[in-house]
Amino acid sequence: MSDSLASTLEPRRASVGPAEPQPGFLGLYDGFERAAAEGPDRPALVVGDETLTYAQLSLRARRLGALIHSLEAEQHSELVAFLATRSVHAYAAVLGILAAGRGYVPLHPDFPNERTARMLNLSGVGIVVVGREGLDRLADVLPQVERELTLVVPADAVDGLAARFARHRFVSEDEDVRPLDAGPSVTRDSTAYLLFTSGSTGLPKGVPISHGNVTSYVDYVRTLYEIEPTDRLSQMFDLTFDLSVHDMFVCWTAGACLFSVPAASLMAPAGFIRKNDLTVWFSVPSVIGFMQRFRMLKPGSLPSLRLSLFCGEPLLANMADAWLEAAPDSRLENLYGPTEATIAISRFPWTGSHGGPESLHGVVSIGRVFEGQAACIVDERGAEVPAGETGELCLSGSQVTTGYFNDPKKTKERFVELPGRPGQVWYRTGDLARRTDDGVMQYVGRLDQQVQVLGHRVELAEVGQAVREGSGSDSAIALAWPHGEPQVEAIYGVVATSNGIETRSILEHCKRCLPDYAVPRDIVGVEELPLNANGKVDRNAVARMVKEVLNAGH
Amino acid sequence: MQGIDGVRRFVLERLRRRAQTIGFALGDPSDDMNLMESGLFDSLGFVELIAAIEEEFELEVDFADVDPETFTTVGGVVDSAVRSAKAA
Repeated sequence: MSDSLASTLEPRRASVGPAEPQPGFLGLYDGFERAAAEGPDRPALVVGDETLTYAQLSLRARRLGALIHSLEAEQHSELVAFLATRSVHAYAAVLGILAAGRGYVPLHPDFPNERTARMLNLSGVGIVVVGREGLDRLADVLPQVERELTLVVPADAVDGLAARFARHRFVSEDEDVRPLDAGPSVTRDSTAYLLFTSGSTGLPKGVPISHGNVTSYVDYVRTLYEIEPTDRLSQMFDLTFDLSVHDMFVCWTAGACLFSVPAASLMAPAGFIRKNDLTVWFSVPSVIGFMQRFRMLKPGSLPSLRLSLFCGEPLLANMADAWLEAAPDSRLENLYGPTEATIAISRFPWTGSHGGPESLHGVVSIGRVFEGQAACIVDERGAEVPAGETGELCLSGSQVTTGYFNDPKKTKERFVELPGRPGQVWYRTGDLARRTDDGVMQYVGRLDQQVQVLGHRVELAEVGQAVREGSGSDSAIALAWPHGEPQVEAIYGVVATSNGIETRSILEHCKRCLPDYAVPRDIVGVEELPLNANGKVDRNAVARMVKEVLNAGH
Repeated sequence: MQGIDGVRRFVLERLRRRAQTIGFALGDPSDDMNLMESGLFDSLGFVELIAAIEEEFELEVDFADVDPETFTTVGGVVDSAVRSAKAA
């Protein structure tokens, strides 16, 4: 192996310090293993018709962990990726990678191949665990990968793949190994997972979350909501999304049972909740909107729920009320937090509208930061603004990561010291918020053009870039719809042209480089993009033009 | 209110338009075809489809008792619309 290749196998990591022993520190996997030891025969995971007990899931994880260890000589990277989604394979991959003491990088079989290849190249992983649902993707992804990989695949796929892709090595997931019998040795600073979020330059940003970050969250939230072995929790979020870490580990460190919501029920899960007597629900607020829209949210129709949590998008007060009517025995809390601050970092318990600080313009407040974490709302100079004034929300504490993956420039921009507070690093969220006299935080909007689509962060600048490339026109932008509303229903590409537009080829290009949720619903052609006094595109004026086109039955 | 054939025709026409816009090989869709799992619609597009049906046939589609497995198929949408029309 050449030196240059060897150096690419050693990712330079933003958040990893020297692996000094930390007696008594339990990482993410240890919490699962402790629950498995206490109740090995309890159900841990239900996917479709299949139920796995803690003992069964632990065995699968420790076998995969041992297999990853056995490959260490040829592929030593702190991170291991998996290409699978919400299958038993995928859940076992999360646990198996953690059992081996590595951090996991989740890749989605439905993501564009270019994006998947880019994430493999950026993260520097050497080993990829592939579920059956990811096999079809390999033919398009592997030719774009810069280094030799070792891929762990279903046994019957090994020979066929090895014959087609001689450059890479394929290992059967059923390889005969002795399951690990000790937990992994990780430190607070070891990476637990690396996720990619939408970046304004068009390149996804890697966010490494350490075991210290994530156990701070999981231990706090599990205790706060008193999650017990008898609880039955929903698993709704895709595994590339950090809210799924809440689902899995708040559940599995409590010895409770996790129910993977099938794809067909994701949008309207009322029947699934009833059929499985779920006690804890966690999703984006859009789900409430869909269920209302389909008249599935009838009063008293969700009697089994005792706790309902929403996160990832602004929660509208009328939606929260409708949910509580359907789930009268449930508490409802609105959670807030960016990926960089690990899942969620503030909460607001919703008890209905009282005309006070519980909502702002119909959007439920994001409440107060978790105990032990810190929030500060600042002006452009970094000085804290008084109550009632809007500023940028900055976060600090044990849940906040130390920076972006291999990206010192973006890290320096976003992870800063605030004037008068030396020695403390704050993450600038880009979210605008204000604080009421009671100290309750309210979400106001974004500083940049980032929007949330079904809880996923989307930089409109990234979508606009794809529309410009696909149309060959420099005069094109992406617009969230309805423009200026907290809840985004769709993204439209807007292209200025006098010759008509090739909608289909533009959308095809967008599909090749953007994840599904970021692909524009449609492309709207306008005569020109109006500019404001600063020479920038006047997005409000563009929105008015788009409205006319849509009303005309485009 | 038109009968079940009228609703199916309307739905299929919307499918064809959507398929043309995004370059989707639609072929001859069966009642079992899942509108979302096939990638033809995302969840918001599905909501728009339902809204269009409601506007065209002046009804409110009620999915309260629908089977989640068939809810987003061509047949599921048509059946729910026709049932809602009868109940109205």
